[in-house]
Amino acid sequence: MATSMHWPWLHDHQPETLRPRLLRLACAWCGDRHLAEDLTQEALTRALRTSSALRDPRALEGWLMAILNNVWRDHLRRSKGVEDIDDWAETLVSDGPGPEANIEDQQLVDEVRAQVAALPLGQRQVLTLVDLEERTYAEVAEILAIPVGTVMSRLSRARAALKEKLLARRAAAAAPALRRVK
Amino acid sequence: MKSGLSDEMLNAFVDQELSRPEMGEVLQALKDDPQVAAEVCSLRHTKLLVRHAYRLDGAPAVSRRTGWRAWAGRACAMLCFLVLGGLLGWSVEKASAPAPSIHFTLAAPAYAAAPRLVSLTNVKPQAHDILLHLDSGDPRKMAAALDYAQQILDQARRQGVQARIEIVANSYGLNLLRADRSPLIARIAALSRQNANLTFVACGQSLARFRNEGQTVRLIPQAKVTSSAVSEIARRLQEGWTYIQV
Repeated sequence: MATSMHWPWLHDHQPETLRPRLLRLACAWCGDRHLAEDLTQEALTRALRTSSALRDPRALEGWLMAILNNVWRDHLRRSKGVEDIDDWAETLVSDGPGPEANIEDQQLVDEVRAQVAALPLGQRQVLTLVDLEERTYAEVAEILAIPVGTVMSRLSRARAALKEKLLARRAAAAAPALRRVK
Repeated sequence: MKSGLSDEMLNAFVDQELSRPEMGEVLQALKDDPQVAAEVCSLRHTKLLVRHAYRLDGAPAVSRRTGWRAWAGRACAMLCFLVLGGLLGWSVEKASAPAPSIHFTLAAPAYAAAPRLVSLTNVKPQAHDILLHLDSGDPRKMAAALDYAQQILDQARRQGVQARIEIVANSYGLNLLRADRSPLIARIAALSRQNANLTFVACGQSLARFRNEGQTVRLIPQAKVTSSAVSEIARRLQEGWTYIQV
């Protein structure tokens, strides 16, 4: 397989986790499992076609995430017929269904994912790269090709919105649980 | 917010993106402004919720038995401690072995590991000042807090130095200082009588939380109330105290 020649890291470096992680990101960005699979596939295919001298696995991962971002933006351009993505990165909210979730504590997971999906695209991307992929602000800036200041302001607005939506309700919901513990 | 710290900066603190001088600034703000401490707690909580909602392995973060509400409850209770964990992670990195001029050893109870001593190196150490932090309502831990205090005070006395000890209680650790719940009221009273330099401090935020839930909380007369445990600990660390989590 061609991948093993040019991309030994696809096999050697966390082969089980890299693809699912890209898929997770794509899911969180686009909110549609099938589309996310297509985007991930396309990103990996594009990566394979491009030669890169990156050796550091972390840099390689960041590079793949940047490709995923490009694939996703290309998709948006095609499907929405919009040119200025930067403009609506601030406003676009997902119109797809929430990502599938068959995890135990469904209710919490669903609620958090729904609120993440409701964030403007730009904020959603920054948040998921920082919180899920544990990318530094500088890395996120590079992956999304935006200034670090924008990363920080988007993240700050994303967290403020989530905090507002999730924690206020959670505090009320948690009260009975707190009483029960003792 | 009184501190004037931007939201971006508090987020960067939670994401461990700050330089050391900036970290120091936030540390100072955590000490001075309970609002900052509360805000950092909520940001950290939000981050944890997002991570939890997108776990890759699909494994439940909690057992089926407890469910997410209990998880959320526990998360709330642990929040301030988690923030503190970040804080101390940073501190420990900067810390060399604390150099107390009291030489004391702590006999840990059978179920627990020996407690770890933490202090900041960028401040002048106050070798006789020790803070014991209790955030658990486990009666064994409550007793351990008093045991540790007593051990340190006794050993210091034998060495001819005066130790200052502060027991800071938050979350369910607050039970130690509750007149209506503490199993150790008599022992606290006795210890206090014998040691003027032993103080008990209750976390104001935990107190407010319990009261918001409709509980009537009465504290023992020895307990002083501080704005929040996190800010108290941050303040004491900056004053050169040694921190021990019970």
